[in-house]
Amino acid sequence: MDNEEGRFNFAIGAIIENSEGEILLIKRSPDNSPGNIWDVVGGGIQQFENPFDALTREIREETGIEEFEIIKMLGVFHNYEIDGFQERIWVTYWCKTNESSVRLSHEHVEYCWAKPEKALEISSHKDITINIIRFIEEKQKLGYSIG
Amino acid sequence: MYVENANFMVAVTAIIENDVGEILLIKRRPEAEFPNCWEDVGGRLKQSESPEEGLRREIKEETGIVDIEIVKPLTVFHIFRNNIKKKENELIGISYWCKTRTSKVILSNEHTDYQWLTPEDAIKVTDHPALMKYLRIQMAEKQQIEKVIFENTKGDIIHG
Repeated sequence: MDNEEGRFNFAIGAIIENSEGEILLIKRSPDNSPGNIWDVVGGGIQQFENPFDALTREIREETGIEEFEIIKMLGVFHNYEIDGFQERIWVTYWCKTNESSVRLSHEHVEYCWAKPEKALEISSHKDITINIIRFIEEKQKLGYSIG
Repeated sequence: MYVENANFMVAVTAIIENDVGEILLIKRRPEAEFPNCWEDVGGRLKQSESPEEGLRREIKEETGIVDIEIVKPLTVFHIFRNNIKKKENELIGISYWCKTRTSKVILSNEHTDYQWLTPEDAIKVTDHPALMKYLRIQMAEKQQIEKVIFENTKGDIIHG
């Protein structure tokens, strides 16, 4: 055993798909850092919190969506320590819901249900774009056409 | 942001598949915690190391395998090392599906034996409940089953 292991902030997020095949993007408020970008739903796992409980909590807090199911894991992302923020690992899952009404928290200012191709157009952040691409690839592997 | 102070050890583990679809299991030392348990390859990330770098390092250290294609992450798991529910012991892990074209394995001194098994046989051989879950997810992903079943993470054991 070595003692070189690091300590990391850990977050969990979701590409949430509705029954129309649209995915949910939410726009970060201008005073959030980074601000004003279209994001996926999610946030930090709290100390002693199970990751799947954290996912449920974040989805409820940020969107008001109560019922969803987890389909598959999509990706793992890594952000180095910047501006005093701790080094962070974050992971994303593809989730499905039958709910389409969204109630935002104060952390976000706008939401949009978009077809995947449209979501790719409005995403301006590399990691978010990669998540949308992974979602499209997973759908295509299952034989769905996208568009 | 209200969770800045939360921090965790992070582990990365691999379901490694060879070109005939068999999965690599390695056996823990008799002196280790969970002695002689058949487990998957993996270990903890170092500070500033990306999960994929850490995964490749651990695979190389524990098996000698460098020819690795990381197919995709399968799921995450959550445990307390030594079963002690303290912040210092809290660990979140990521289980990946990997492929290799080699079957040649060079073990480190952390393990005493290895075997390549079909996923069905690997599930029978291991007494590691979390590993059984990752194997089932890998089989579901490979068969492109629409919805992977994520059971709860209780019963996960450590990788050290």
